[in-house]
Amino acid sequence: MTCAEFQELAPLWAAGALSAEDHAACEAHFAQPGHDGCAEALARANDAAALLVEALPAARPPKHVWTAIEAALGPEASATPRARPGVWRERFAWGAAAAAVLAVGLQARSNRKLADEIGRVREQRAVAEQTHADDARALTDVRAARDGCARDLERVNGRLSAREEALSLLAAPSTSVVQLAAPQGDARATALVNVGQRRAVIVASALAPRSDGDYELWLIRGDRKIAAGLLKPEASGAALATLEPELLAEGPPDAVAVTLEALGGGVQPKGPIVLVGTMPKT
Amino acid sequence: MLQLAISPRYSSPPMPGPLNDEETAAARLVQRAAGGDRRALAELYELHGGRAYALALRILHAPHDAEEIVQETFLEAWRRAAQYDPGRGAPAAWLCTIARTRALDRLRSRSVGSRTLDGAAGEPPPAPPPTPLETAERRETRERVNVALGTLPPEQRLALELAYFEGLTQTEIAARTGDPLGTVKTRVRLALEKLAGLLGPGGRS
Repeated sequence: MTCAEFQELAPLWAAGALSAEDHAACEAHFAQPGHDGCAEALARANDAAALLVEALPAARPPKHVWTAIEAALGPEASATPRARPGVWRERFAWGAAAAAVLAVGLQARSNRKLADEIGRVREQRAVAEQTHADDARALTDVRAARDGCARDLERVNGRLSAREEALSLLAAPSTSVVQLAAPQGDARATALVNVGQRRAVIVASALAPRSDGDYELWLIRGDRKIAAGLLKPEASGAALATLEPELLAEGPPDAVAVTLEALGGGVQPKGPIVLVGTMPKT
Repeated sequence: MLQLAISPRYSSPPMPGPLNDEETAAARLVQRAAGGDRRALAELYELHGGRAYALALRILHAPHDAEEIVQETFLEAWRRAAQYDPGRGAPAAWLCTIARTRALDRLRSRSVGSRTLDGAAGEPPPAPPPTPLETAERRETRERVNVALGTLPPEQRLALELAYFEGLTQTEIAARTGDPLGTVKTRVRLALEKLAGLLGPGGRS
């Protein structure tokens, strides 16, 4: 991606309209050094998008929202949002302040215990919600993954039957789309899994061809890793493989992964993970 | 054993950005929050809590959910303050991005039934009563932005709002409106450029 192309897409990035693939490409470009106006274009687009919020009717969250934030931060060093000068001065006289200090002192111990408990529960809830949000995001990326998979298929030469199988799976509404991400590097893949029909295809791109090893595909069910065949990338980095139907006889896997193994692969993964993705929850 | 890893969605290369005085002050608050200063977070909340709440209300149409999104937004801002990059936008834009992402995640996780129960689908909630703490400057900004939005061709505004408030990608917008993908891209870009005109020629006004 060039700086000009990035700047063309920056407004769509700021508006949240990019597909997952374009978003990743923009992130990759922006992470590189040496730009010609990209940072300025992105900042301007982000600031412009934020103006949409300025147009909304003014609103103010209820006071308990900040109280909950403080509780989640933990009991120590409590801070209160600074009120506008004058407002507090009018509301509180010295006598009221002294009474409040006394009351706070009497309540401090029980408040600390309560705040501890609230903080602990909210932290647990935040973790659970984050997990749930990640799952939801993965689900909503499915449509973008289908588009990206179709484009990757275009890059795969030959192996007409496998391509046709992949296109057929893409068109089937009951097909699950699993996006595989690389812990490191640019490689990516999409697994098209139709458990009901016991058919599955994996389409990968940016997978560097290796002469010293083979990419091996794994279906993961709990603690079990089931070898599912080798993935042989072309010089372009594109790779396509179909899975044996028996591999899906037990139902959908929990996750799909690709590791780099010794030539010919193995029965258990020993090499580093190249790609991994979890099955979307249905 | 295989470890399932999720790669980070965002990376933040350091890039300088021209902030105006108010934004520079807010950026300092973010910096202080990154150093563990809770008072700074409280001041950020005072400045931008209303924006996050208004945005979450617009997306979710449910005050209770919007309150939770505001809580999550400022807790995430607290945890990730050190990653804030002024090169990507002002603190208001950064906080809005967090709030928007979380609100859209929640919107997508809801079932259709609960969305309908929580509020009139597709319709913004009734406007809350004006807050006495809203400054004249803020009111003026809102009026200027509304005027700018009002001058946009309806299809440009629709494309922009579908993306920003409903989280649709350009492909999904094209499918929803029946327009070619290229047309959708152009509409979103032109709409944002029009809004960016409010920021002044050098960036932030």
